Amino acid sequence: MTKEEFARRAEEMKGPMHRVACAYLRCEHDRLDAVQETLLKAWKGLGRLKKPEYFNTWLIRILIRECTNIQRHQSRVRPMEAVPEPPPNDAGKAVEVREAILALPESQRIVVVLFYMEGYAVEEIARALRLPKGTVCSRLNRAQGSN
Amino acid sequence: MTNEEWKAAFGEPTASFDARFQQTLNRLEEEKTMKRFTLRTVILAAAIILALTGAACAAANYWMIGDYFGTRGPGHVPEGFESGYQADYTQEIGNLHFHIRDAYVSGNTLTAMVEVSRKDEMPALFVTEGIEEDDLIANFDQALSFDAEEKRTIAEYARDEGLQIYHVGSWFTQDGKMKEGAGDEWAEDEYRRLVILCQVQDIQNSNGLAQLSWDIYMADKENGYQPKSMTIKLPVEAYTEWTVDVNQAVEGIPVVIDRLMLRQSRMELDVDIAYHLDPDKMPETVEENTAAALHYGSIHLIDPETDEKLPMGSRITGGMRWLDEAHTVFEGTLGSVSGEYVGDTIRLKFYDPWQDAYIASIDIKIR
Repeated sequence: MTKEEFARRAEEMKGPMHRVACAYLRCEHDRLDAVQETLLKAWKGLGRLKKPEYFNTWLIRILIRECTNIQRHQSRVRPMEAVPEPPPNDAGKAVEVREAILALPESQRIVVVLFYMEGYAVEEIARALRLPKGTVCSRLNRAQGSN
Repeated sequence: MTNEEWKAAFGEPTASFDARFQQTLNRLEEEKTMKRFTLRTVILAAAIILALTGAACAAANYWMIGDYFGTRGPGHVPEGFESGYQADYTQEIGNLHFHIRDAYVSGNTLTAMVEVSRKDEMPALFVTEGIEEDDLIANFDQALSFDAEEKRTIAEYARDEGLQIYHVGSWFTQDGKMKEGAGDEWAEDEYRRLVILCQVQDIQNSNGLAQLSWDIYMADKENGYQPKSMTIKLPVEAYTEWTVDVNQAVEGIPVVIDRLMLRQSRMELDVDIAYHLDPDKMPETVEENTAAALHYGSIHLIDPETDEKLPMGSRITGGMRWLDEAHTVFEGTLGSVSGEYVGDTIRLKFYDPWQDAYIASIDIKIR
């Protein structure tokens, strides 16, 4: 895959990557770091992607790993006041949905984001999160039960 | 709800997100040899270096040799960590032994190392808060080995390897309140021991003594959640604080150092910094509100005599606050120097991770 092709495919994933990062990280700067590291690691590790058709899932999996790393590191550094976030340009239902999603336990939150927002099939989510399909289903069910 | 309504919950990517995304794609190199570090990676790299040179040299582990260690090595243990800790605080729950290996209070910050082991010193899987047994053990693998055969969960791995899983935790409170803090953890001695390093802020003391509650827990399938607690008392290191007004531009980069706030005890010299970016000298490529992309947060404390990095103290770097949106003003923790720093000048060097090199330097007289 050439750099141009990689960039094109990554650009197509910009929206999903933003939403997945939002599901994990509250601070905008953390999301910027996570996405930057994801793109760099994906580019560097491209040779290990045996099946190009799994590029999207693979990219999301790297991003989730980076988000988790940042979360772990955040719990190990003195918290800093977040850089002021730009005010969300939304109202009503969007806020309601966002708050409901963010209130979920993280393990359920990401499957909700991937299933409902990004339209991933259970099998794709299982591949992205390296979970058994049954676990994905049960987490979706629990998330639905929470609402 | 429609798919679009779901997506609207998190809004569209911000301008900063777009800028960083594009900037990163633009900087990819065909040779794939470009070094890339964010501030966090630089900090973690320093931690790993500490790990490799410190007590953890003898460590191996049952998770992924090297990989686990690479991600969960000692954080910011001060080099030559000898606090003079005299007490011998120990608690036991079931067949587990919790022991404070070392601890000290400097100013209002507690740094403590707690080790957890089985009483019979057999290896085990010690799992701390936030990790679930149905997580994949490969998720701890930082080598991103996508073709790895390992698909077992933590529970399956433990079953196959004959390891018992213990959910454990250790923290410190004062007057019933959890204090803001940070920490790290790593395995030692072929996973016979888990070491938890923690750093807790805002510790109060009376007559040079800090009284704290050391809270621990163990949870396993057989006995459920078992908490325990004991009161400990730690002497507080005396310290002096002072501020140095600097108001100097750093040659070669658009950074102006406003002041340094210093605090020195027997254990270490803490350095906080206030600086701002000079808008008139900002490179054209830097977009508004993307100061983070400059990576000028990678400021290192250097010995002006040797031009080498000073031994790192326990205070974790980073923690900058962006004070003024319009003018990119930062203030926050720069770091600490281990030991009793006696020099009257300190050097700050600015590390550019894109170039993997120092690009500017300034000497500041601190006393």
